[in-house]
Amino acid sequence: MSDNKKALSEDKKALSDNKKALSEEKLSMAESSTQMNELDKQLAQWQSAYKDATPSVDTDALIKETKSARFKLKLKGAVDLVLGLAVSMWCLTLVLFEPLSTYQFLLFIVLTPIPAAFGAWGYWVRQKQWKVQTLDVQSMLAFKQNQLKQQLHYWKISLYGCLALWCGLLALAVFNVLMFNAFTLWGTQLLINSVVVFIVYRRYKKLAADLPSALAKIDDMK
Amino acid sequence: MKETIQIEKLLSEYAPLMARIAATFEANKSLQDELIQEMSLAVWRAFEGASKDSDSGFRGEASVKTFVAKVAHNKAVDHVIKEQRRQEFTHDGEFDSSHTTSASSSRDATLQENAMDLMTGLRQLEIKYRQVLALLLEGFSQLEIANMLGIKESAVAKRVSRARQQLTQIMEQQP
Repeated sequence: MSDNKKALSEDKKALSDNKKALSEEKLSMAESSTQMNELDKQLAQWQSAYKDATPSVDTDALIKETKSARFKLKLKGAVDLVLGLAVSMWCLTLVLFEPLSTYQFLLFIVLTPIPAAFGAWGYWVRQKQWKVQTLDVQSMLAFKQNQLKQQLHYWKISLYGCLALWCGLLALAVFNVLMFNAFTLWGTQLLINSVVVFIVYRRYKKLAADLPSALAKIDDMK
Repeated sequence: MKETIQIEKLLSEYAPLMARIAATFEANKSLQDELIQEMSLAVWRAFEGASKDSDSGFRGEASVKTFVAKVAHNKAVDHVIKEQRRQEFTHDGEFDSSHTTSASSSRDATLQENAMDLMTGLRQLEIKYRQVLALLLEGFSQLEIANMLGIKESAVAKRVSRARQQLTQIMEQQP
């Protein structure tokens, strides 16, 4: 009998604890609901303030300017393409109709497709540029990082190319100075090319030094 | 021709949205105008390109508004990267109130001040927080924001929470 009473009293205590816990839970739910309401209220206020802060836009002028910018962009693309084709056509005309030495013939044969191909490539790149803007922001940022790395890579290749040309020129200069004593002509050419190599080198070093921070800045945006 | 008219309509309709996004990322009024024009051009080209290309573009988007907001945000981020590289990006958070639509309307001054404070506060947030909050304030859902930014919905929720905390602190500090 005494055991039963004890069990009953424990049950009662447990029930009272449960009630207490339930009321605490209710209180916490009410608090969180109030907090949620406050957050919703704050968000609604911010949304309204955000809309109020809309800068004025002259849509007619905007459309006119956008049309003009679009036309200029298209024109630039077309001019680049036409210029490339024109240079290639000129080279082809020389190859087909002008009396050329073997060396000149080979040179123009090699040169002929390059301007047209470059113009067509530029036009194709321009046509596909819009796709980058429709990527999600993360992919767009990854694309930008890749673009920066590629830019550095192109400058590196340019530097190697310039160095190779400079070395070739140096060899020619040494040969001509030793054989024909043409120091002024070859010396000047070597000096001018050295300036070009130095500028390309400085640009490459600057880009290489800036790359980590530029990549890190983009990473911060992710 | 029909397509051009359609795009013009689209630009007219979403110009305020683009202007708000531009103001969120750029404090300088003239740079803001430039950015709005760049956004418009990007939207035009994307819309035009998407119409020709059935594999991509806005056909897969939930709405045209989402498409425009995504292109505009990308352009804004692009602008920030360029400005950072030019080291000319201003962080002074100045806001020219004479250029707001509310200036000509009859809304009271307090409301306008709140709006300015909010824009100034938003511009002080990190880009990743600014983006989610700006999109949330535009009325996009967390799922839409996740799709636009290319991150998980849970990541958006986290960013929103932190962005709100930070903005609240900034707004409280403002005089």
